[in-house]
Amino acid sequence: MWFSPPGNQDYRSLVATMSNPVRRAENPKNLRYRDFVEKGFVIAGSPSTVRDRLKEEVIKSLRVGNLMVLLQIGSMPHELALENIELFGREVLPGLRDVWDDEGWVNHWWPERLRQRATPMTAGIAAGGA
Amino acid sequence: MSVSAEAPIAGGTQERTLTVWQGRVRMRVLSKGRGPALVFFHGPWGLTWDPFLDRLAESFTVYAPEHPGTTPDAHDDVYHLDGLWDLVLCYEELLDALAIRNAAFVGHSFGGMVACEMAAAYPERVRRLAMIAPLGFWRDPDHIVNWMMLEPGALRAHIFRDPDGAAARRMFPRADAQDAATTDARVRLTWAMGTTGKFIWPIPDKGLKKRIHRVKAPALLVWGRQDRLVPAVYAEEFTRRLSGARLETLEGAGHAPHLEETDTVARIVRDFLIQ
Repeated sequence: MWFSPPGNQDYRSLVATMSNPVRRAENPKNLRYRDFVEKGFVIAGSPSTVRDRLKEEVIKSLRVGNLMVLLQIGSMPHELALENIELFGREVLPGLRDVWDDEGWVNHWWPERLRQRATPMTAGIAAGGA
Repeated sequence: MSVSAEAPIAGGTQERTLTVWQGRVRMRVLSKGRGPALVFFHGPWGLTWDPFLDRLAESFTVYAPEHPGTTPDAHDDVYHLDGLWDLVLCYEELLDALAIRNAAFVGHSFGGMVACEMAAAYPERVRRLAMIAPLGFWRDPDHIVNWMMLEPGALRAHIFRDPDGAAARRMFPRADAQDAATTDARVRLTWAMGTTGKFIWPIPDKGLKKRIHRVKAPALLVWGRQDRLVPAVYAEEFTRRLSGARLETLEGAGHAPHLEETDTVARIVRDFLIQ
């Protein structure tokens, strides 16, 4: 099959995709919750676990500048979604915001007004809710 | 990994790359042969110097330009063209750059449509117009499969009468191969479809019916009865709008008759063009 339909990628991306085609992923039906977590398909757990794994395995290793988080997933009930947002905002996000501060990275894409409100916002991770 | 997805150039062909469109679009032109000028417009799968062009080069000086973006190392040049109007103007600049005042035009599929658009925009520049299974019209009952969304196996079967034949194998790399040459071929094919598809997506009818009356050149249509991509009934859209147009239907041919029945199509096209 096509690894990428025509017109969906620029030339450099097309060459990269064709040169490193995606290997057949594991069939999720054969995996249990523990497998999802251990293989890194899912990051879940206490706020500190989520924060540390996001920081090391995602943000630093992939050099992510903007995280777009979706804190209500599937059938998650309203109350639980609220709690999830609360936990992420209070206990996860503060530990991620300043990841790139030392490198002096400026997030040009973050709305200016929001940048002024929170500190430090001129550099670091900005999380936007979905 | 360094990948250079370039068209193989057959022996005896000359190549030159000309720059048009305010220096922003580079187009390589392969040429070969002796005799009157003939411009060949390739289809959605890129230009390959094939035996059909060799046959034409026996009677004509064949110029085969590469669609913008498909010239090696000039992939992004296609971004300087926003639509069909730009493309037609771009080709006219190319004719000037080649010092071709007028020529016979031959086009296949997407290239057939481009040749026809050129003939409508610049009637004086086209001596005779031969189109092989051209795009350009849409009829709801006879809808044209969107070839860009087909997986390679199905695409082969839509283009070729014999999906396992030599012509199909020349265009499509083996599905299970992963070597650098195969990757090159896949990149080339996909990029060619993307850069041509840009001008006809999502329906390959860009209003040719409003312009085709301007064509002055005598026209020939060659169609495979077994064309699974652009059904042969589309020939009628051309013949009823181009007075005196000739139609040659090949009973056993698919969407690429010039590649699968090279001798027959080359003879038909040459006989028509030298009149």
